[in-house]
Amino acid sequence: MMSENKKSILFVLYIVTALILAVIYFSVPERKEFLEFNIRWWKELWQVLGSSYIRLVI
Amino acid sequence: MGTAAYISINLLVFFSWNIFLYGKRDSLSFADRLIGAFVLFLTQIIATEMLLGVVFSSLYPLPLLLLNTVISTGISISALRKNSAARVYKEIKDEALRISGIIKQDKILLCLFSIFLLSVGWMIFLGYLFPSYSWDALYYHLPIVGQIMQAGAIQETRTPSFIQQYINIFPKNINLFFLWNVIFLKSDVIVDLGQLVFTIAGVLSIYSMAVKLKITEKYAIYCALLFFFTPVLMLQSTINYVDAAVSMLLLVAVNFLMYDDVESHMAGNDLNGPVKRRTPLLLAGLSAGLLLGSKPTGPVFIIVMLGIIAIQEAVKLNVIFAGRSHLLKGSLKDYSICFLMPAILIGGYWYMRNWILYGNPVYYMDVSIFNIQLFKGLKSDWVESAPQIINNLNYLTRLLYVWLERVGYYLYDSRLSGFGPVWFVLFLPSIIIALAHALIKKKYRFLFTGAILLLTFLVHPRNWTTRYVIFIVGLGALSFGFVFEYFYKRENVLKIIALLLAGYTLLTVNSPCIMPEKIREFVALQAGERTLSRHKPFNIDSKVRDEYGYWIWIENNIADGDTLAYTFVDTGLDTSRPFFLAPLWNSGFSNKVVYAKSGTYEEWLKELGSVNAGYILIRRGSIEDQWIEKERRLFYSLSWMGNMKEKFEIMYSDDNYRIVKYKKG
Repeated sequence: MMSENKKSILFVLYIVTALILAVIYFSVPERKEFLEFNIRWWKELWQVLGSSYIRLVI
Repeated sequence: MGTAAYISINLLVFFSWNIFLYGKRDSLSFADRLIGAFVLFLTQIIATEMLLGVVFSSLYPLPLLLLNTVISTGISISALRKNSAARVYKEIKDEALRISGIIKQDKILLCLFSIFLLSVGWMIFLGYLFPSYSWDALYYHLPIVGQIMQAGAIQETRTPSFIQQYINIFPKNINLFFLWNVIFLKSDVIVDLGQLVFTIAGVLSIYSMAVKLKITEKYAIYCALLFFFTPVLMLQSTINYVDAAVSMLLLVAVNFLMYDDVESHMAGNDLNGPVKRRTPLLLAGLSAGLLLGSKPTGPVFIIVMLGIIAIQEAVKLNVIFAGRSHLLKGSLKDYSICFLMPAILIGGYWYMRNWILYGNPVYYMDVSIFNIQLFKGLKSDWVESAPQIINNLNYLTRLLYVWLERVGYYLYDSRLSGFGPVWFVLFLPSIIIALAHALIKKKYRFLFTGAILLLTFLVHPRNWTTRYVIFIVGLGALSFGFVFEYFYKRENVLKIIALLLAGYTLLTVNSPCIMPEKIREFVALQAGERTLSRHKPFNIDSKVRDEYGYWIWIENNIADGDTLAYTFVDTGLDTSRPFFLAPLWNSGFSNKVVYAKSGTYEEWLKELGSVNAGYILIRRGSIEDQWIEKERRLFYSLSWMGNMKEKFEIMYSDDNYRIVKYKKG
């Protein structure tokens, strides 16, 4: 029982640490530029797939 | 014909070793026999290429194919006498079904595995579609392949520049594997997928290491798949660098070394110890040798491994089981014969060669200890200096800086990017928990593995360049596997976070070098039209716009057997205007590329004749350009006399370069 309690506390500590690290990681200033590039990349892929599909249908 | 030969020889070599290792199933697990077959497959390829290239100067497709066919047929026949192919096939089928059963039972694991397969498929597609475009590949990795193929030999070549010298001195094990992927196909279409097989071996090694650490198989599969979702590893898998291969080989070596650790010794599992450990030790030695001969930093990895092995042997001396004490003499003998000797044989050649030719085994590096010069070299520091931001930070903060990935996009050479969010969010805290637990509970196996990986990471001179130290993510993955096992009752939270981060990595591991519009353009082209000059990749485009013109001409006109002489080199290491050698070869590396420069016109003509130059690449305004112009003016002024042959015919000309056809005589 004690061991399980210790494990639970340790688990909560681990998850809280992971969440803090996630916040730090995702909130660096460059993350915005990084996400914008990737959104642009996927938009371009979507357009490519869309126009390829239209050509195929036509 | 070439494709059939390539596929057949690869299947024959790999499966011959697979059947051979089936006979060692009492000392190796199924996963380790697969990894072992890969190690032996690589060793055979590299050894046969070195034999033909160094000893016989006959490194051509036919001798290479015949030699490997004979060796592998012999191994297959010998192995099939003891092991039936049907049983080997049955084992593969049963294991595949067993593992897929584990995966299917866990929906999140099934999702993770699916996105892993999707990623690998996407990588194969991109590797096939695009030519090799990475900087170092164009600078020296592929020119090494080209020079060996044109000479049919592994030999020193003329070194008019630093990069040419680098081509001579660089340890070539992985480059020989790149050559294997070109020589039969007579095409470089899949040469950039060379590192992908190492990545798969690395993923399998993480799984196997996790199982050895007594992590439940399901969680071991999680660790292995999450290890894969490291951006720099995913991007390196489709380019001709050697960094991913080096890191994966370290993990493979450590995986096999785990068979002879303190915990095996304490459990009395090695009652037949010395005999049973020899096969894993041999495979570890071969992996270490392959690593040693892959990159000039190879010795660092080997020294660390040997150091930790020595410490482990000292620990074993203090542990007694079943009334027997550890036999140090037996260990020394086994490690020397099965680990050290193969490592030196497979990897040491390149260093011995440099020592003989340049008086320094790690030439170009100047090696000094406490201001005492041990080996004279050209430089005592890295070729590329560190960015200012890194110089302004201390040892720890520069690591945190790169791990935070303060970059706008990922690139294959990592630059200042880290290991992705899986490492930063999940693996880092897991390492602390796992290490602490291992120290408290004296989990020697984990401590042994962690010590090698951590110490190699700490002593690596550029551990902030993440592509050099991808192996440390392996420690993170194994630690996370332990955390998973430890908190198994709360596994769902961890699974969901892991899947979300892996999915995020998949969606954001896009590089500006490969954009969707370019993918669309290349899908519509024939294979021969998918060239570097059409690709115009982001990483080199702004620096090579002046070069595209003659690259296109070479791609379209230089045929099998033609000799292209070039007459200029890079000025020092000015990366603002690089002179890439790789585009001087055609896509099959079936022409020859030679450097031809002399002090006088007459000597130059003699040199062109001696190398059988058919075409010459010159810079506009250079001395060669002036000689050619003078010769052509002479020809046109005297051509009315008849019986005059035009020595130099202009085939291509732009503002910066010319390619002329040289007609000797």
